[in-house]
Amino acid sequence: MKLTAKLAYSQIKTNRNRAFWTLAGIVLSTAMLTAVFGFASSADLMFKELLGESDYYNSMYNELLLGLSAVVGSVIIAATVIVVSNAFRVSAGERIKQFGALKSVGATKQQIAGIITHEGLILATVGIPLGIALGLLVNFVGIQIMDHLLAAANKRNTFQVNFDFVVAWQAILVSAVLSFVTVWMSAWLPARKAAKMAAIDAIRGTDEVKIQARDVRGGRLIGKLFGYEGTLAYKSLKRSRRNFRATVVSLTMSIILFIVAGYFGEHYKETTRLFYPVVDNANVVGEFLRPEKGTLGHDGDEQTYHMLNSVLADEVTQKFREYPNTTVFGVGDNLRDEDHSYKTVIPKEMLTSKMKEFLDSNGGVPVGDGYSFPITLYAIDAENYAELCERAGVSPGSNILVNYVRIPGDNGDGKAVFTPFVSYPKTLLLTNQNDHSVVELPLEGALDLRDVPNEIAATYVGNMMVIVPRLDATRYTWFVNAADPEGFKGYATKILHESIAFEGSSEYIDVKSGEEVPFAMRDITRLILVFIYGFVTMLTLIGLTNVISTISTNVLFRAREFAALRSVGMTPAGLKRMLTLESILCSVKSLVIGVPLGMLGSYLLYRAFSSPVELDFAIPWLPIVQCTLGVIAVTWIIMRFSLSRLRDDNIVETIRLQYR
Amino acid sequence: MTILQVKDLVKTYGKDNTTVMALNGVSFSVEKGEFVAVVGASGSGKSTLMHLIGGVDRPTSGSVVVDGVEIFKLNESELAIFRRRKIGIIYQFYNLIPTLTVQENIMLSCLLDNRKPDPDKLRTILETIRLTDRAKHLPNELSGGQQQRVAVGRALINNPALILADEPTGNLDSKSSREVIDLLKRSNQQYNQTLLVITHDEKIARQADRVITISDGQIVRDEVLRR
Repeated sequence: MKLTAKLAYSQIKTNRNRAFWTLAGIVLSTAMLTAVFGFASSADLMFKELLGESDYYNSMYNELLLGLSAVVGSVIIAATVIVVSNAFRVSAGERIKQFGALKSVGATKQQIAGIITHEGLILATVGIPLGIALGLLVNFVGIQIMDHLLAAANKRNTFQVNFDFVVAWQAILVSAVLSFVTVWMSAWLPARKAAKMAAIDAIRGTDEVKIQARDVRGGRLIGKLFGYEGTLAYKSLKRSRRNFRATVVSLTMSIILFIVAGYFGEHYKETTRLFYPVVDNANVVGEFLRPEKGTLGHDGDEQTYHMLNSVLADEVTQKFREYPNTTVFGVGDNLRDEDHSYKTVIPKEMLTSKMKEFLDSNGGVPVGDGYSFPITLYAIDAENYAELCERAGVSPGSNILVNYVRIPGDNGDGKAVFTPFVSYPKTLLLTNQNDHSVVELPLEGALDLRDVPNEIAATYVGNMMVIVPRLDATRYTWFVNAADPEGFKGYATKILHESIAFEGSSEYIDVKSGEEVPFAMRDITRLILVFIYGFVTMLTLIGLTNVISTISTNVLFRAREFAALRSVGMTPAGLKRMLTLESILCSVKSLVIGVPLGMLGSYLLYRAFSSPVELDFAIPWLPIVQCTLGVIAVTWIIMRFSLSRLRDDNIVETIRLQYR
Repeated sequence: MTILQVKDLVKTYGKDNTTVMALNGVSFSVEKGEFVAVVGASGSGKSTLMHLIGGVDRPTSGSVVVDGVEIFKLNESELAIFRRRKIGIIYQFYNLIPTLTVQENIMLSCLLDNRKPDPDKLRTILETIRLTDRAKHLPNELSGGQQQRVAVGRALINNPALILADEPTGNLDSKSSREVIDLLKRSNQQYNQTLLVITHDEKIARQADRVITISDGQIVRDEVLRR
């Protein structure tokens, strides 16, 4: 074996811990590249099958996929270079003396650099094949998950979307080459620096970076707060700033990605929740719905339609619940065609400025000192109604306003604004559009739309909503989750026909399976979320390998310093406190940089994305809290773990070892 | 007044047939203000002895009493605090904390106690070790001799019951060696500081009040040179 290779190999063996984590970083990033290119290949195939290989396809989706892979790939490569290059830099720094000795016996610059690049070569040879295998596995599992999620949507759609697992040798080759170049670059940067160092400096073992007094000044406030151990922690972090920089960068990057992804996920869920409220768990849906006879809106027709009183609907609900292992949610409303609907006037001072702006630009109808709003009344089954009353803090029998109004944009295809009123009136005056009769409706309480079950929201069309105790419903829906859906369907059909009996009533009644409910956004939502979180998780893992390797190596290499501190009388608890503070300071620094950037990123995303719902920007507090706790916990655990391995050898051993 | 009492000290390393007996029943005592040199060939057990007296290592059997306290009856934290207040240790390789200035390194044991050291005392020590103008410098900006003087200053700051020095001049040129030894002797004479110096340098040993010779983990000679 060549000497340089031999020295590189011995270094890997000496510092197995760091070599392992560097290898883990290489494996993970190769795996990610392989998986990303694999997904792109599968998507390419899917589009080709769906659209046929045409110019249209080639010009559009091919570019889209290539572009997307390039962007994601660059992020991965950037993360890898930061992480792996830092590992090699630290590794080279440890051996400055060895390099000095080699130089003094006549090693050339190239040979010195060769030792480090050989280290990279060995790690790449082992890491890249492992990474490709892992990447293909991730790819395979990911495709299975996607197809599983798409299966439900495929049942309802006229066209079929399926992903196939393909092993594209081009994709594998590209990720292998890219990974190799990445590792090589990461090793080459510090190698060049080490090679350039003058022999005498190397022999003297002068610190890679000479510490200056001003570099380690300060820390007094921390000292006041946490005792002298705090000051020491602060100083040692400042000293090894370069080593910690990559850790801080990795942590910061993960924090930003986590917050932005968390924001996007929440925003996306919120939008779909508001725009396409879906009842997830109903497998049988029973309906009372007037049949489509001719065109609605003819005066005569409206009067001849039958309605369902909610008291009778409640009796049906009760009978449904008697079927074993069944949960039922019944909801009815008085939705009518335009000419027979109710409208109410909301005074201007109860509207937000955004609402007024929207109303003015989208054909809102001003009436006197306010605007006219269409309104729909809802009645839900007694049990769920009682629960909602409790939630709203009102007594049973109250009318509850759903305090969240959707004002549709122009022609219904522009953006819509969803906002609560500034305040709501004690009483609403409802005007029937047909005969201009007026009904007085007192409001006892209000609930945010997000606090109202999806069963109600799912049937809503955008009018103002008031939940009332009793109602003559023009339509009524029972969302049912039954352990035996087929059996229940027969049972429900029988009950409905028995209970609701008037001439032609059977035309009003329908019982269908939950899967016949139209296209569900949630499958797509889930698919997108799986992708985003998968990506963030993988990138975070790459960063984590670096955090682990930096912190644990840092602890091991300061063994002598710790021994000195112990021998002048620092207690084991004091040492622990010092290191805990170091890890916390390191996390705090990443958080101080990462959280504002994450918020900024979320805001930019908010501005860039046009969603059908105009929501106010909401700071993603939940992801911020989650990643704050996560980052502190991770660094603390790693520090503690490294320390526990150090404690085994006592002070003397450490000092003696370092004498050699 | 007896400041240090070592009794039947035994220390073995390794297990079973690879056992090495580093110390084999060492007993002696040191009076306050004594300057004792411990000499012996390398591997004789003198460093082990010093580490045990300094409380940084624990013996296989036997006891060490410093200033009336049997140190191995203390737990880790109590022992650390005891070291901090009662013992000053000087190593061959200085073992200064690289991120702390000269002044902070000297005050380290006080700072760990979260108390402010007496500024007069600090000034005196800086003058004694002749590093007043280097007080704000970091260890890597000093020569070996200067760094070792800082280590001596760190040992002196608390007026410890006992100063232990392990080959304090082993890494220094003859001029710096002389300075460090003079410094130690001065603390011995001026402040009646008890000193235990491990060395294999004859010249240093001859300046002590008493020389203990160790061979194969046992005291083979205990000679009083002056009183």
